Amino acid sequence: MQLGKKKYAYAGYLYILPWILGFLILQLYPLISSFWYSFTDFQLLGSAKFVGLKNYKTIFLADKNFLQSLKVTMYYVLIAVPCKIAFALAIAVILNQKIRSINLFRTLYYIPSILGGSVAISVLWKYLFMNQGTVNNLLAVVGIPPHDWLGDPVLALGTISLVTVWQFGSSMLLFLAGLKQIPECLYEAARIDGAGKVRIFWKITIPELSPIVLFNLVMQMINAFQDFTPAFVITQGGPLKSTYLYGLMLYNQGFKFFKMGYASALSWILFFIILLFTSLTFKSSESWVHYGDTL
Amino acid sequence: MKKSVVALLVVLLAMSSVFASGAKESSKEADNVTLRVSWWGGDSRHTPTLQAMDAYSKKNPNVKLEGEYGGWDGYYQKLVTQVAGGTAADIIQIDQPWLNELCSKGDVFAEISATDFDLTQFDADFLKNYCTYNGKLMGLPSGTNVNTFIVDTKLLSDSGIDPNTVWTWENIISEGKKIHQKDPSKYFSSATPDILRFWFEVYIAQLAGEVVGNNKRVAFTEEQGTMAFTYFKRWFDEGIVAPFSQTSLFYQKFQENPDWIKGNTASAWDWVSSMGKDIGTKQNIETRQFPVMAGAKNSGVLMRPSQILVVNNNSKNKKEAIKFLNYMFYDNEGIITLGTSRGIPSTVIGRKSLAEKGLISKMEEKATNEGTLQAGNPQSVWQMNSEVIQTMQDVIDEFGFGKLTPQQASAKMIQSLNATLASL
Amino acid sequence: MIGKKHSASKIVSYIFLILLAYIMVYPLLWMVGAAFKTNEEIFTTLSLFPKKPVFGAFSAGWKGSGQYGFNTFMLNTFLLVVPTVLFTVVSSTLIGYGFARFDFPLKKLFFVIMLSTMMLPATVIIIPRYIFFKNLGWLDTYLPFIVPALLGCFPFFNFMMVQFFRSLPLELDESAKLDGCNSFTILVRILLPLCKAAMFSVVVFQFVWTWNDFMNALVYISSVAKYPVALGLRMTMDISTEFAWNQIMAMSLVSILPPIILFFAAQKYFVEGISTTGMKN
Repeated sequence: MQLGKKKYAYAGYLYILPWILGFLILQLYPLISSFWYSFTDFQLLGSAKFVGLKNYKTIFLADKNFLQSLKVTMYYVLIAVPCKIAFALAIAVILNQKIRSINLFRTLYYIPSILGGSVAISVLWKYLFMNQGTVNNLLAVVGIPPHDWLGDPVLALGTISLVTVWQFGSSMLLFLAGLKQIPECLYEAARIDGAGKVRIFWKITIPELSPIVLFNLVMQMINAFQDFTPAFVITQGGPLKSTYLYGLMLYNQGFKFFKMGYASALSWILFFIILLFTSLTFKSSESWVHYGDTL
Repeated sequence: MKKSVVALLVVLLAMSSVFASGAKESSKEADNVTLRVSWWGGDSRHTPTLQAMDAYSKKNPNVKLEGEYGGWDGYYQKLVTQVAGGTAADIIQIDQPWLNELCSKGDVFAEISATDFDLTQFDADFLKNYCTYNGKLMGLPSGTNVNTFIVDTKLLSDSGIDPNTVWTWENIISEGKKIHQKDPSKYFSSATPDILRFWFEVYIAQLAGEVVGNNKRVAFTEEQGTMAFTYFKRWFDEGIVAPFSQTSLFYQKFQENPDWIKGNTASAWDWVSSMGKDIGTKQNIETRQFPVMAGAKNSGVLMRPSQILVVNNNSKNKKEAIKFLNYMFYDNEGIITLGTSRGIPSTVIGRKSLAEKGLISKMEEKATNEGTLQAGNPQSVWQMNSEVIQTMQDVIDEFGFGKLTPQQASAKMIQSLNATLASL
Repeated sequence: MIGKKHSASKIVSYIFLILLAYIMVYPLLWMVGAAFKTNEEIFTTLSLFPKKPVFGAFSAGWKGSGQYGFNTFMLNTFLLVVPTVLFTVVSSTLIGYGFARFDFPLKKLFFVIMLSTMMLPATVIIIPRYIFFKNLGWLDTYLPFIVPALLGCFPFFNFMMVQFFRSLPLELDESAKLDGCNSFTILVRILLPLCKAAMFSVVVFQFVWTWNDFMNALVYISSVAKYPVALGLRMTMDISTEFAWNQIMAMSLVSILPPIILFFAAQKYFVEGISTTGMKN
């Protein structure tokens, strides 16, 4: 069995068989249903009536919230995803050094990701960022006047993004795992060549880590486009719809207003948007991702 | 290669065994009946309800009662999912506005009026106004809930305001503004954006009767809307209420705002059912009558069931379900065990039994009586529609954040409501 | 000189790490304090330490509300989480390996389909999935969690393993093949030891996510006797009746202990460097 270019290795089918079955048995039917629903007036209960492209027409021509939510979500993705990944990478590199009690730090930094959606935490955010909250008190020490971090339509989305970035633990962990896989000999060779720390980072660490960077980028993007938890628990989409993330909007349409057909149409629009961005990312990755198997 | 095939076969076998085990059916015995009862609540509702269920099962050994209870979060979503899947419990606790939403989608609940359930102990209008769909009685009000206006008498007198003031729309401003004048961190009203929407609905109800009528039309004129918004603009301008930028993060949770808990705000619009929770450990809280303008068409004060208990139309044991409801509403043991865990009972016998045992708190009783006296007409089903509410809220938000003048807000409110109503 | 400079940069590193750790852990510390506060104090003071500590939140919270307490919820969560995690590790490793190291017809298409199943918001999948699982008779069991794990329906982990396998040099496989290994033994003997960190990431992530999963548990589990902690935590939180926040805080703390312990225990797999034997770079 040759892993050569032209010859196929059919054993691969055996390995991915669980997923093929899972997709066909568990995932395909709900996907098709929701696609069908997007052309109906399905209202959760009762039967769904075919309405053609009506939902899509309404979304593009009449729904004010659609563009607003899309805009908010774009900003959210553009702020939260790069910040989270850059932060996670920086911390992972620092934590990869030989520092005492590094285990403790690693655990402490992962805690926010465990606390994530905890009911207890949603309360805390309000008290940290409200007008007389902790953040304003701290800023007052350095002479910065108080802001309504969650109540000001200009600031709220940034504050919400901060909560997302705060949970950088999972990305950090993957970077750490990736860093551990970089063979020490590469570093040694570079050091012998007289490369400095910065040069080693850009010439060895980043290329070797690029598959993980790609993974984090794609996954965080896919998640961020659909994310609604922080907006749902902290701001409920307000103030003035400034945190009305797309995922929250379609949740409201589906489960608050019972317009599941409409929500399905919204979902499929989002699906294609995410697909577009993911494809572009993969396309660009050909020039910057370095795999061990493509020598 | 062979080993990999073997490994995959093992995985496949494991999978098929899982599939097979999932297919087994639960066995049913002929005479014994299992009733599933679902509700949301806190400790103070879970414990008495489970006790009542236990006591009932002891008396009726053939009936097994299973409680499916939890917190408020997600309850409605789960219920809707279950109804869609045909798996909802036999007896279900719902919130009043859901009755119309769910019934309009199909024959979800059993018609109570078609059974022999005794309705004489209920107020007929109350049943008709809040528990019917298309003229059919679909559920039973577990308790009575009314709006109440609560004030912090200490903050009022500290600010030089007579704590016994009878509130009018005008003196809320002329007297209330003294609080913010004296201490800029304090305000007369604790209203968050959602509560301001309630106040707006009260004001419009008094001016025009209602916001949206049962005929699916906006019931107020642009002038009336402008009047209302002009009035509430003064709330912001004269420091009656804190700016939305400070209160919007406590949307639907004004009682979690430290300003309210610490006593920096002097009054709240509330429901009697949640009053206890909202007051918490605060002292010097008293209930007051709502302001009513001269010639008001409707007080705008709401009265509705605290929850509604319905029987699933899919239930195989509707008769037994009705019997258990009968126990909850009419059996002395049931009444006493359940107490006020679902609000002050909506039956005469329920109120009487609890009052005799001293199980109704004085303040709740007073607030309920006052509210009942002042209560206006029920809101139309369209005004309670969640999309209509959201539409109102969106305009109120824009207005409160200063993006719209009173005239603009009124025009936009009418225009947006018309658009939403047309789409429903 | 160099030594001094070195230690100075280390001190800066430390100060930064400690400050950051404080920000990261602040919410946890706040929860610990809040478990000893009254509702009023939780909502009015920002201090971490309770003024007048109230005790008993842990025992009262553990007892739970109604018929079942947290001993039941904890046990249930393990019954739900452990199989889900184990199956996820196995399935994602196999699937990841299949995509990373084999070339077969339609591979790209399969890969795109696999990733795209993550791109449709769960909101619109809930109802059809629910009805599907109902027809299989899986409602009120943990099968809606376990079977998808077994069948690799978590593309996140499949893709993750693909990326980790692909970052390993192909010469490893080739030299093993010369030694007479088949594709499965290459995976087990050569590649997996090098992917320990990745596999433990799968364990940790899936454990934490399933542990905290409220939405799916809410929809699929109806019997209180089968509630996992995610549901147990919220079961006294009502909009109109009062509930004790300190008990919620206390139980939130207790319920995050298992994931934290697991993470701490799995640490060494992130610390160990990989052996570089067999690499001829």
